[in-house]
Amino acid sequence: MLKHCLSCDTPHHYPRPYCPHCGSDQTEWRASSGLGEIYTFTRMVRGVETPYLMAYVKLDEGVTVLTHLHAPDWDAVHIGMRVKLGFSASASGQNVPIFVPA
Amino acid sequence: MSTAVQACVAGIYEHPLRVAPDHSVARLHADVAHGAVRDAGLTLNDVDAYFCAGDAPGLGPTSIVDYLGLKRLQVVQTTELGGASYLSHVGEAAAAIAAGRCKVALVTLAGRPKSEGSSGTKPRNYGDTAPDAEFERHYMPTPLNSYAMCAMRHMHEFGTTSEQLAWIKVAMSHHAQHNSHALLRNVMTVQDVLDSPRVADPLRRADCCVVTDGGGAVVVVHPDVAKTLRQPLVQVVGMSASVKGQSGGQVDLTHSATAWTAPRAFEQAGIGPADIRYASIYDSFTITVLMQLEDLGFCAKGQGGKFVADGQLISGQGRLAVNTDGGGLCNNHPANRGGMTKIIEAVRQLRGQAHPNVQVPNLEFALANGIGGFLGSRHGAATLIMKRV
Repeated sequence: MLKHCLSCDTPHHYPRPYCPHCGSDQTEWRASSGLGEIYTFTRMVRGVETPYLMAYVKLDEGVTVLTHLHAPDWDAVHIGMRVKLGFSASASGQNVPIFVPA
Repeated sequence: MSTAVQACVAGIYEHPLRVAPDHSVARLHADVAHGAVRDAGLTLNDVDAYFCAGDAPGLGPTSIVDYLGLKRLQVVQTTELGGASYLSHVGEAAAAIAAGRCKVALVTLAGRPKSEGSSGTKPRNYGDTAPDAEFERHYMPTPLNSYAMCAMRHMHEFGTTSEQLAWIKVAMSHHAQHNSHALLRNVMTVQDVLDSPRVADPLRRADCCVVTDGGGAVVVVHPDVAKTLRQPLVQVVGMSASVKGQSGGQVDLTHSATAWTAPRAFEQAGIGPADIRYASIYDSFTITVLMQLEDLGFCAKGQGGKFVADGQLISGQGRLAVNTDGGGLCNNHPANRGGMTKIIEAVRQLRGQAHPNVQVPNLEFALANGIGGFLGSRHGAATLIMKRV
């Protein structure tokens, strides 16, 4: 789900009651396709207990979100790679959105 | 800052310690406060304005002003732009002085992240009430992965290489060899940087700044006061600060807020990048320096890699001397906030008090630029321009 402003017809993320683009409070939740491409990423491999892939994914709706990637082949991950939404338990145990190769 | 009253930086002090397990943070603030007013030829009794940021313990200025015993304050200000705060403080102090609200402003920074086990690979906790927290904290954002993603994108868009980033560390190491207080004093080669272990690719350990205890302080004064003091006159002639974040999801990681602050600061000073031969550029990571140089206008966007390569930031041999104290990459990054030491070395250069081996001769202007917070999510930036008169 993404927040969408009815006033300026623009989505935003992270979600807010007031649109950060135009200031309107006429915002509503809309379903996201869950599809997008990697804007940038990094393989965090030192100084952490378990290495992980962090990324910004640009969704097809036009907003870019901070996330983790779950990919079987880390060396195949690249900017522009198509990915799709999944869910996974974070370190806190809460299920959070992650992305996997599309 | 085209004002009739041109405030001056009259006192500077950088704490000599890099590891201070036996000093409290408040004590470190006091050490640098006394050091800076002493450098100016003043005492704390002359101070009528105090500026600090989030590194000040307790209730910030309320705690530290009481601790220091400052009794004549007319202006008290905090600005929280992370490590860029102090550059903003100097500009705001100059504005308060020009407005007639105070005459002697003290700015302090201190902390002991080295002794407290801080690391750039650990998440920083700014509290669960931060509006972004619920949407980001699960992904463990840290300084390393934040800046690494900026570097990865920069390489993708512009072909920037790890070798080019390494030249930034190499230049800082060339300068740090002359600084007896610097944490890392060994001269490094590009290969040394490339051989250091990858932490968050494309960044390696040597692309990262040091973690140090310590601090620094500056004193900004009315020109009438400055003329009675011992140090060469260094005027504050331009400052602009701003914040850039994720822009509601329109994420752009190849431009910093410096792209907005630099033109305003240059306009105030009445000069341009071509007039600058020494610059203190915030070096939390090598990529931070590269992006600021582009955003300051020293080269076109995307050309930063070529601009820094082949020793072009080394004093005496390159096109622009940068961080002649060794910077945060080799010398000092007290409290994980590098803006204060950026001001201090720029003032040393303008006074002619840098180490002789790195002093840039006959400087008229110097620039100091800071990026605080996380370049990969939300950061503050401040551009400060000073002039020797």
